[in-house]
Amino acid sequence: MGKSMKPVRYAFAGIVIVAAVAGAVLFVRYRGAVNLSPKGPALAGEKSKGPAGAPVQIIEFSDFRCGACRKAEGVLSQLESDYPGKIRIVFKHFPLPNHAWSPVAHQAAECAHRGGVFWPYMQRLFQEQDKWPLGANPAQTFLVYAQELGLNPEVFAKCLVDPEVKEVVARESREGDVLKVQATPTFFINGERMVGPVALEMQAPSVIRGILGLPPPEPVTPSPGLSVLPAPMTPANPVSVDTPPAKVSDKA
Amino acid sequence: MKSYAPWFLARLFLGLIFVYAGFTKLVNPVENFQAVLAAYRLIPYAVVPALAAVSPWIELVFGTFLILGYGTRWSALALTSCSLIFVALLGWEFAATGRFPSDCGCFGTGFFRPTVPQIFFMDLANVFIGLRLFLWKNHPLSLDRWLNPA
Repeated sequence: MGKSMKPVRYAFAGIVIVAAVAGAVLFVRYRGAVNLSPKGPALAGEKSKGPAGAPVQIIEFSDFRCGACRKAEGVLSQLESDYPGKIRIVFKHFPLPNHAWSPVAHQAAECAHRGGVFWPYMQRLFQEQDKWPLGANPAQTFLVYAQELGLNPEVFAKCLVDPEVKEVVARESREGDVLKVQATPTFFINGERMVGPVALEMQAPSVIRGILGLPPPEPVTPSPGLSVLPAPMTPANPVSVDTPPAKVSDKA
Repeated sequence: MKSYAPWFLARLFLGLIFVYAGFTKLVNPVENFQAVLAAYRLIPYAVVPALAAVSPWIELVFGTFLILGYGTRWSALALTSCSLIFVALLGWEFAATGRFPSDCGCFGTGFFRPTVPQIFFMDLANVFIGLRLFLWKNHPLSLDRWLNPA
């Protein structure tokens, strides 16, 4: 009797351990769970493009200093041209603390938004990503970009130091924190989370087609150039453009 | 027992490392870990979502088993295999690019954030520890011994 009970007792102990471990994980995971509204209404002042009533809303948390974010812009453009009039993109600031001058770049972009040229300014920041983070404060460079897009340099310079602009960047960054954004770029397509350019390229078409009631896309392989990790947000990490999706552990 | 003492500590170390690695990934959105895995050249994208969902549970469950001494030898072997896979992935990236990735995806966001080269050498040490624990036939201070007394 005692001998035949041993395997049962042993297996039971294993089940109890696994159940306890799984319970602890699920408790921690769902205790602070936050659901992003699948398709929030258009808010005044937000940085968006595409029709307000578009069936697909992509919310993008991005950092101008992150190489993976730059690569993801190409994928987003492709999605926009593949599904014209069906996608609305909303940009959210998420500068990472270990990325040099990134917060300043986001303030500059917010000022460009006030001047009505957010999207071309954003494109410029990504295009010149290898140049402006080097050396001293790039505010002067940002001013040149603004001038080239037709913005008044005096107004722009004042805006750059406006505490309200800083607060907008900080507020959107906090929104990301609440949503457990831990790497850039992070996207929410009608509430479905995707992290990094590869996931966006591989998964977004089937999610979008599902929303639009279209048949699933042909299977594809990731474009080789997109295999860029979102870079970790650790101080020990070198500040490099070609680093993986960044984590948010240092943000708090 | 006396000669086992350092190996008991090594058992705890190996178990805790994997419990921490698994737990920090599991309490955060799985998509973050997926993004890191997607950047490894050796891993086909088709298996990335499944791998990202399953591997943290393997780390957490076998790490806990090892600490408690449940199925000690096989848990040690499972974690040795995990460590070997990590060594192969990081080694391949290093061989292909001349440098380690800036984020290996080994730990989620937490207080313990070793650099990737440190993690590579820790994985090598973990392979050695895990193999030695697997070869140890009867582990003192373990549930195995309590549930199956000799």
